[in-house]
Amino acid sequence: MRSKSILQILKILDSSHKRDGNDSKRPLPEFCIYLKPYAFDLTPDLTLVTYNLPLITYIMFSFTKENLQRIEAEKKKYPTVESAVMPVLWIAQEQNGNWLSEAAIKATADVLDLSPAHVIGVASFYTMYNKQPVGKYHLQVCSNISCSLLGAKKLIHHLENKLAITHGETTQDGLYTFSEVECLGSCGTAPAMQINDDYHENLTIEKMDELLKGLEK
Amino acid sequence: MISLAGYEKVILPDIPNLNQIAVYEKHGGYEGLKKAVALSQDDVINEVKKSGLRGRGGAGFPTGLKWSFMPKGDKVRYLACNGDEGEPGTFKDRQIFEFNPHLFIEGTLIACYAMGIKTAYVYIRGEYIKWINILQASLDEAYAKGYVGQNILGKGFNTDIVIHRGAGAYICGEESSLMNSLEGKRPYPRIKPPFPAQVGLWGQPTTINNIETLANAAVILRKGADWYSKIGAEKHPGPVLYGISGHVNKPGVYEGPTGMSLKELIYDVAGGIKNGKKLKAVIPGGSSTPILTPESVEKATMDADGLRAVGTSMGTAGIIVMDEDTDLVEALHILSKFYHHESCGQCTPCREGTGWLEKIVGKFAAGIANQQDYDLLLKICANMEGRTVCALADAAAWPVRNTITRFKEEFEARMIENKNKAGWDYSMKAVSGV
Repeated sequence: MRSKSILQILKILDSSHKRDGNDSKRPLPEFCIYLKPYAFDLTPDLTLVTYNLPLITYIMFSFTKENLQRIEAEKKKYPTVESAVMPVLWIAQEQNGNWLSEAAIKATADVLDLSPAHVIGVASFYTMYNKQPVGKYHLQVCSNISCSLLGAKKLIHHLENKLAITHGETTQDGLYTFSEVECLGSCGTAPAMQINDDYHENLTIEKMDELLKGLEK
Repeated sequence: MISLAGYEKVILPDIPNLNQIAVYEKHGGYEGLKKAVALSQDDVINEVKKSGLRGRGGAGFPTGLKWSFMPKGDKVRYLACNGDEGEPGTFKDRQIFEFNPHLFIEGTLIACYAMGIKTAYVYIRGEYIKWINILQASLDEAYAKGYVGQNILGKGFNTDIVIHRGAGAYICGEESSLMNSLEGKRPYPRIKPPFPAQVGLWGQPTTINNIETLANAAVILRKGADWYSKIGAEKHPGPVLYGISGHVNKPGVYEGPTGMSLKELIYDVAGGIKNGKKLKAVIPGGSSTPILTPESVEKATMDADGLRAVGTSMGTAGIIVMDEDTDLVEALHILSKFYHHESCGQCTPCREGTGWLEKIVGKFAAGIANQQDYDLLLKICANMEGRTVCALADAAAWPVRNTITRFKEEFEARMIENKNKAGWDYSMKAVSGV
């Protein structure tokens, strides 16, 4: 029953830094992990399979001072606080290493006085808010019509073989995440790929290999 | 015959560093705004009406008329500038942000002046962070020069422009979804009526315009409605940014007058089909517009009437060219997959319909479809069109309906009953690919 005790400890830690003022002297835990005891799945012949995987589901998160100032500035741009949810989610994602953990979403809800359910509802709608950890380089290859006409599918095949991952997966060294994305608005310079925020256009297999080589350094 | 010969570029002129305010001012920048603030608000709207400008975002609604719907009075009003640009085959707004951002800012200010708007929100898709930064830099310059902010040009009118970054949802290009996204809600489209001009952003009257439309408004005020209405097609005038992609030698964004022949755009402007191949099909205005056969391409002109005559529409003028080797079934499968992915899930016909379209077109792609599947596709399309809150269901159904009827033989060849005729290999690999 080890995992249960970890859950209990984390619950206590979590409640201890709620914003009620008196507890502010208590040091905040910087990095905590919930161990989910097991995930389960049904196979096609309806047998229950359980995996004993340590899934990271919870990492403590609180906004830095600079980011709290940025959030205040974002709030002023709109007539309601609720409207700042998208910019604040961007800030949270940036601070949290390019993905939104449950705790980051909760912190966003707290700072905007919204319910976490609402913020999860917004964050889950958009593809660019990563709900899972992504690698250092997020390779987003467009597979829509104009890019596919000029060979995007071949590029994707090549990339998947080279990195041994498919859509939405991350390499074991945590360096690359590959996503097949919809139109990037680069139809005139197709095929296109976005690595994190940067566009790389007019791609060929050779060009892609060169790009990846450049990233490894 | 409208052609590119003798046409002078105004939206994306060949002037280096036009994104810098000093260069922009030297080339007639912000003169349209100066002219506008000398006129009354109604006169500005009438000028835009007279020019015949129609929205460049896809629907082609007359812009001056849209502006005139905004109620008068003290109510707080908003302008939302739509730079979501998610339609496959469309990549024009990023050119405006990159090469002529001040033209867009000027047009936005003119719109704000004409409708008495104090805040304009520019919604730009999340992937375009590079262009958001370019626009923000230009906006900062304009603020510093006193074109944006308080007491603009000493005329006592105030307008702020705020850039809002999207996060990757095609549906946010739909105007009411865009408003919900800006309000921080889950961006489901809203039921109309009430129309945005009555109840829009945060319950206040709102106008939503495309980036290119606002850039055109600045040109109209600078050069005059009479000059503008003489460019291009009579009933759909003005400069337009044609985005040509796919199997052409020189893909890219080209500015030209409306009403140009599609043939000239493909063969002269974009340098013809790659590797000297023959043309198979053209999507003339972004992925949602019905596809054209080579015979229709011969007579099509790029304006609302010219394209209606061949059974399609102008859309965003994003022309996707496909050569003779293109597998149209696979191309349609890609589009159906896209609409399934982007359906917001609010209305049942769209949420379920887009999924079924993808699956059944996938059956054709794998070569295991039959005549019943063909009829079923048409039936699903009929059950989607016009039965949902927004136009995404129509946008998903039109490409399917038109591709399978206009290129029927391609789809028939992939049916299972014709597999021997076509010599198609009915292997297990293809089946498991569904």
